[in-house]
Amino acid sequence: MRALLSGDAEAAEALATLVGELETRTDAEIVVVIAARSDAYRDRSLAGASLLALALGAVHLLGPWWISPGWFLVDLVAVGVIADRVLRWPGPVRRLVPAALRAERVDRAARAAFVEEAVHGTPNRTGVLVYASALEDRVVLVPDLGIDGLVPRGELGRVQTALEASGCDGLEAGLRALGEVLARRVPHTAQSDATDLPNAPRIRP
Amino acid sequence: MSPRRAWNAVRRRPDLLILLAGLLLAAVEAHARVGGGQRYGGGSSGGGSYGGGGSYGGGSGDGDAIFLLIWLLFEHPVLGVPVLALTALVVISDMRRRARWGPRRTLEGLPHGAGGVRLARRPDRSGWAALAARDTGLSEPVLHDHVQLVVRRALEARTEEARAALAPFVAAEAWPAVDRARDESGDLTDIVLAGTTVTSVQQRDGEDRLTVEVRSARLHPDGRDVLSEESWTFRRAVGATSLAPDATRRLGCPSCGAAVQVDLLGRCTACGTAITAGQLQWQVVDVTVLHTEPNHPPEVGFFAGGEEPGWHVPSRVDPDLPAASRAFHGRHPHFDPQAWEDRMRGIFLALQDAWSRTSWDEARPHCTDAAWNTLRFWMVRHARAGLRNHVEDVVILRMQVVRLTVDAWYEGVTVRFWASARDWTVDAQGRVVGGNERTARRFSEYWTFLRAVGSGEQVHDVHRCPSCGAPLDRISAAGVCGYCDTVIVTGQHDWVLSRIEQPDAYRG
Ligand SMILES: [Zn+2]
Ligand SMILES: [Zn+2]
Repeated sequence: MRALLSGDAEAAEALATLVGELETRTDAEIVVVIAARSDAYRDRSLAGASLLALALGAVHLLGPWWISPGWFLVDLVAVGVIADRVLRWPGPVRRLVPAALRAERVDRAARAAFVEEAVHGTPNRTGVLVYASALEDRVVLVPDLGIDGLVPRGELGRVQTALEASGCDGLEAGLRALGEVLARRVPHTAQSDATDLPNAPRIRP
Repeated sequence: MSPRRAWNAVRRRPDLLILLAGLLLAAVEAHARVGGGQRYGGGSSGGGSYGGGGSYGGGSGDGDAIFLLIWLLFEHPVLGVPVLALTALVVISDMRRRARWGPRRTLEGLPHGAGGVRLARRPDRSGWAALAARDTGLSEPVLHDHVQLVVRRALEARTEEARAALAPFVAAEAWPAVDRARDESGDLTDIVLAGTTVTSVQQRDGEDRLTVEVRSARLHPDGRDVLSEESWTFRRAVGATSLAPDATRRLGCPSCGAAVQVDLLGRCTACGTAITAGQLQWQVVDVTVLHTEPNHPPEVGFFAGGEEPGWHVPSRVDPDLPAASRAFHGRHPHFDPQAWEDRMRGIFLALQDAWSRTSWDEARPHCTDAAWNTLRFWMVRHARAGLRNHVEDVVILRMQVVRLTVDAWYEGVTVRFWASARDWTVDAQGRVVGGNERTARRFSEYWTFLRAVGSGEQVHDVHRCPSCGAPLDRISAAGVCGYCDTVIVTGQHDWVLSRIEQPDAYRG
């Protein structure tokens, strides 16, 4: 995962080969997107920074020492700006942002990527987006409508649940599990070879 | 009194603010109980309901709130008047809302001729939604089929051997309760399930707990015929994902699917997974009998022709229908609307016909297990009372799609039918005892159909058991194949009926 994000051509090649292998057994089109993070979490960092600045202000007001109004303001603004920056770093995000919110942001980014990568642009709408986000350590499947009509959600849900448990480390295993389901439910037919699309993962550092 | 003076009064007595907040809360709580719908009562258009009224939930809080309101009104009109106005507003708007949507209750689906509706306790929709968010495999029809199958098997299981085979589905400690529910009278000649409603979904102690209200008729060897209403409690470990429909129906090991055989530690002998404590599949832990009464003949009454009241009730169209129908066409690029409409009409007419001729075998391929059980319940009930309900000259006048859904395993479509038919009931001597033999009656109903997702890809011979391939000539009352002991699966290849609701009760 880290190798992919740092531009390791070999890792990208290996992933492309795996996707190509899986697609020999299914008409579905697997699109892999690897993102460093799914959101800047600006709303969270700003809220956190504001609270810190407010707390600092309270300390200044109630504390026994005297501080000039000018420095008081400078102090608050400086703490606010720095905290806003620091709170957006991966470590604080992982520790401070609730897991449910992180998951929600990944899901939203995955649905945006679905449109941006035109996963719906396959002849029978059989695209499946596999979106992995490193910071949140979450992998999400977004199937197109054609897949939704061929594969019960319960079956893809099992793959998704396994992916949620393993995080980004389970990407390869998850892809293989997805390939199994697709090979069974959306088996390969000859006419789909003509529209085979590139399999290289899309990296978003 | 001016706002300024009111403000001053509040400033002088800040505790009043707290009191006001408390009062508002109390008012809101009291209102929630009024509209909470935890009441079910008998009697509706068709009659034929069994079980009694009775309401639950009480209101010790209501009296306190009213007393406080009166006290406030006289002691501190500054606050009392606005609070009274606000409370009145809340109550009035609630009444208006309820008037618009009609009374809250659920009807169990029956074809038009069934002549009866059954009021059940309200299903727990919010609990269900929370469970569905955690469990990607959850599907309402699959769960109801499973519950009905387990209830039937549990009531039938008399020997140690039969009970051991149900170990993953009925906890060992639940058997005494099952025995009590069976009336301690030994064997049953027949169990006819009328319906099941999930009345509560709760999470506690690392387990999800489902309470399911089960209504059934039991025929005993001594000829006693009893209607029984029970509350069955199921548990499953939190984090378990619902099994696929075929694995659910097999009643094998929830992990590997092999026939159930467990060692002393409750582990499957085939795969070594612990399965006897609801780890992977819903398991009965308790049964409470709510109500029993002798099965009396269904009530039938005469009526004139013309239109039933529901005829003019406006359709409740799902606001998501446009998006859902675009998605539907995306899922089925080669969708043929004409063939589909023909199929819907075909099922509607076939079921009315099967009903009229009391032929539940013919209804079987067109219904889900649960819907078929309900249908059979009413057919058997009529038959035991020596009654026969004729529904003839059925004409579909109009149909409208109002809702399209997809869950973990099934696609659903709800269609509102407007139809007319001559509908009358005769007794054993052939005398007309209800309905109207001469004049057709116009009626309207919501029918919900289901079909398994991805069913178009697997082709089976519909006249053979999908599990073992044997002909369908040894099907038991439970819909179990006599050759391989597997429940015959419907809805795998084509649309089947899952529910029927009357327009005044349909909630979307
Ligand atoms: Zn097993
Ligand atoms: Zn069979």
